[in-house]
Amino acid sequence: MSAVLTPELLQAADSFLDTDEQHEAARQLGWRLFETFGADKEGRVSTQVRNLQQMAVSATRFADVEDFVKNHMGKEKLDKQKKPGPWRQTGDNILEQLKKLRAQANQLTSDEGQRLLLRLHLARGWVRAVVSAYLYAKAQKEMEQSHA
Amino acid sequence: MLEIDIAADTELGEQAIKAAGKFVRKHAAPSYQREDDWPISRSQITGLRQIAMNEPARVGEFAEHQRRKAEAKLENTTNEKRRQELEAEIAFWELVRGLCEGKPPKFSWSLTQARDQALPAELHDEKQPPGAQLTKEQQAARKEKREGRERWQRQWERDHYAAFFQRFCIHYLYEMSKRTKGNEDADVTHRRATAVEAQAASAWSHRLRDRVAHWHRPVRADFRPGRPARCCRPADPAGLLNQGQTA
Repeated sequence: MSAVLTPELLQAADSFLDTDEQHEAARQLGWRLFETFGADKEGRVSTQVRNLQQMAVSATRFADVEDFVKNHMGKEKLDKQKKPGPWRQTGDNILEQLKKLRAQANQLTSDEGQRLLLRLHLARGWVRAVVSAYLYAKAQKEMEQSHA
Repeated sequence: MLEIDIAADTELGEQAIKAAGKFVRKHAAPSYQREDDWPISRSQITGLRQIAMNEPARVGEFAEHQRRKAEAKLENTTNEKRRQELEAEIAFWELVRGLCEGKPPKFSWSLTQARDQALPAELHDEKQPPGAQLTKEQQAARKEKREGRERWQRQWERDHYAAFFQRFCIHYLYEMSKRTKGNEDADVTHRRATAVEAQAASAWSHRLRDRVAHWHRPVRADFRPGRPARCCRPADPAGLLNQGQTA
């Protein structure tokens, strides 16, 4: 199986990632991830967010990214205050956005090999945008604290 | 990019999600309030996933063994709720076995069916007419072909069973977590809990305000120093008013 992505397909995928709607969705999710996961004890990027990024960047199957999120959601239980864990709070939103990426790849080509490559390309672009929004939210919070 | 990556991302994954989702919709009773109530526990799911990864050829056998165990328990159980759980457990293991080895019309798709469809043409078994005499060379070629087919099937099963049951098990646990009461509508539960807390805090502050107002009420006309107050300080077990007031 040796599917390749043509420059046209890559451009179409990048154009999709660059739409206002996608940009806004990624921005909101990034903020949500920061609100939910926060930073780690030493103020660095949350391990969970880093793991999500690592998974999206290194996956050879798009389903692995979906499974990663579902797996975390499936493992979580409510805490003593009946409050859902961070993955339960954000997971459905992430899965919804991944579903959109899958649908977009299906729309752009009918070749299954190309579709898989496109999905992975879209997932990498998407996770970059989300983590950037997360980092921006984190930086803003830190700046607020240092000015206070 | 491998064929298995495409399959896991498309048909195999879709079949796994469909099967797990269908089972949960049919068998997840509203009485399953906690994870422990579910007929198939988290550890059984983990076991299934491990067998699919390590010994894919034995998943069907494992499911059959589990089904028999559940059936034996069902025979000795009279409790209606427990019987329902065991019936759901039996249905689960039947489903797993069907997903591995099922044949139409009961199972329109199974891993065995998918494997047989994917078998390369050069490995297909050629039917010999009855009583056909084969030369030694022909017998050797046939044997070699059969071994090649078995090797291919083992490899196919190693790749596909692991991918299929990974998605199946993860989706089952995801659905289980979503549907278990408490986790279901977790945000709503959380909001409700917060509202209850706010209500309790509001009631507490009202009680405190009333109590303080009580202590600041005007001194009664018949009050004489040295006589015990007519109205005693109200009980204050929580110590809300331990800064005493004198009447």
